[in-house]
Amino acid sequence: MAELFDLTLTQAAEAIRRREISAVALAQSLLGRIEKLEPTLKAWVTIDREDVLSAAQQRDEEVETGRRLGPLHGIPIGLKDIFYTAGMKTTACSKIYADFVPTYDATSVTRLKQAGAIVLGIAVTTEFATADPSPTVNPWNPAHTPGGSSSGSAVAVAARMCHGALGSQTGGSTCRPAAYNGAVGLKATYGRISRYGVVPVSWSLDTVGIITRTVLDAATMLGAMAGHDPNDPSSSNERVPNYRAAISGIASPPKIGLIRDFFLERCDDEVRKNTEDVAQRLSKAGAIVEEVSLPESFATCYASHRIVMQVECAAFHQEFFQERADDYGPRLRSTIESGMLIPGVQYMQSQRMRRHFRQEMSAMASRVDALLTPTTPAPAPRDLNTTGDPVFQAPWTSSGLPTITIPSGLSQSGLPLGVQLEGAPFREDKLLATARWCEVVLGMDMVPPGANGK
Amino acid sequence: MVTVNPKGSQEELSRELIARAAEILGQERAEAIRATLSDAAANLLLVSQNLPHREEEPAFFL
Repeated sequence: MAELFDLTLTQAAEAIRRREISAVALAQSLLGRIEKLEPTLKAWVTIDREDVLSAAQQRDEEVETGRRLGPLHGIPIGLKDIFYTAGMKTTACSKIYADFVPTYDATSVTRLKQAGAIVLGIAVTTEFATADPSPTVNPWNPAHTPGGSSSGSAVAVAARMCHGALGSQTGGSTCRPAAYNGAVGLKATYGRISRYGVVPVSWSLDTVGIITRTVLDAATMLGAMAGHDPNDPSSSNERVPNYRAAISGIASPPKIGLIRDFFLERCDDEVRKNTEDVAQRLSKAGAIVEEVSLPESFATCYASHRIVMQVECAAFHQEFFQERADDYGPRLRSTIESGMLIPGVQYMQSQRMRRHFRQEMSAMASRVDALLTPTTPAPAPRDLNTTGDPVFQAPWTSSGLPTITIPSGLSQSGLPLGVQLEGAPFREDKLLATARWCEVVLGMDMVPPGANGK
Repeated sequence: MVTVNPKGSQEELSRELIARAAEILGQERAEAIRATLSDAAANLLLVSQNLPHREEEPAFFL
């Protein structure tokens, strides 16, 4: 058998269910992996080894007693350091929240635990999930950014320190780091996963993200967390399909809408070639690939997104900022200060524009099984002072549409490339099924060279 | 208060934002965030020049 940390989430859960491995052995394997790689990669804020092993022991006892097991039984999961975890520090990697210990779990964390998951540890985020880079490095090349803001979550999954992790996305904070590190990143429809107990950046944009190594793993985690939460005013009542069943039920090759305008104009040659190659390979495998055009409202989506994000971020931080402005990183500080200056009328106009944008984007996405774009304009930049460019991810966050990035190759410099598939609102079932079909055709299984040593 | 004139220029709006920043944050901070305010001016102008149909309502929680 492969090293236990090499198993995918789904494989590990199946092995525990069949009693081929124990949850304790799995946790030990991941903890050993973390011990080995963490000094270089700096992906974690907190790992409580004793708590993890104790929870794993409890899961094993539950297996022995024949208790009904959840889909994540015994699986250790990483949490970005903005998810409330009762009794554990949730610092948002900031000075402001340095000593904050929540008294309750975020709803997403509660639901993961109900599905049998174990909290493996708290993963590094950029400060308050915004743009000041974290100390985490890219396992493919430590001179390149791992992306952000879910830097630790993406690196932990890519380097096989955990099977799945939670991130979040306000601009591109789940899909960009996932792509930069060669992982799968899923941003569900806005309202699909509860935001309750997640430190906000911008209430009307923030979406919980999932980072895994495979589409099936992402579907399993989504299934565990999706569904209405009365504690989150933006939580949706939409029915939750069986995502795993949807994936296995795909009968015919999908219809994919390739977006060339803007995305293939704004990317570098290598990314453009990779995306065109992907479209060709999918087509050869039987997919119907047709070009689709962006709606008119796309032209202003970045402006409205930025205005909304700055104003809501300033509103959340107002009280802390009045007392402790010097405790903020430079980029976040300027975001808050800019947000304070934006007139309320323009904020409202931006929210009106977003609604119109969502309607047009939803109509476009509904005509196909999934849209296809590159995830990022270029591979991870060789610059640790940036988390990269959110320009290809932000439109999907602003419109609230679900999107998933899957690995699609390596650049000449040996860095991961990704393509992004986007779906209609609340059709993650169709999006995941399409992504799984594409994943099989592309056949990528990425292991960073820096994390290869066993 | 900053007023956004859809027929104005980005430079004019940027100057207005910087002046307002100096009033409430001080001259040093206003200078420090000059580039961010220039971007904000471009965004504000674009939004004011492309207003949605009058019957379009806002969506906070999509």
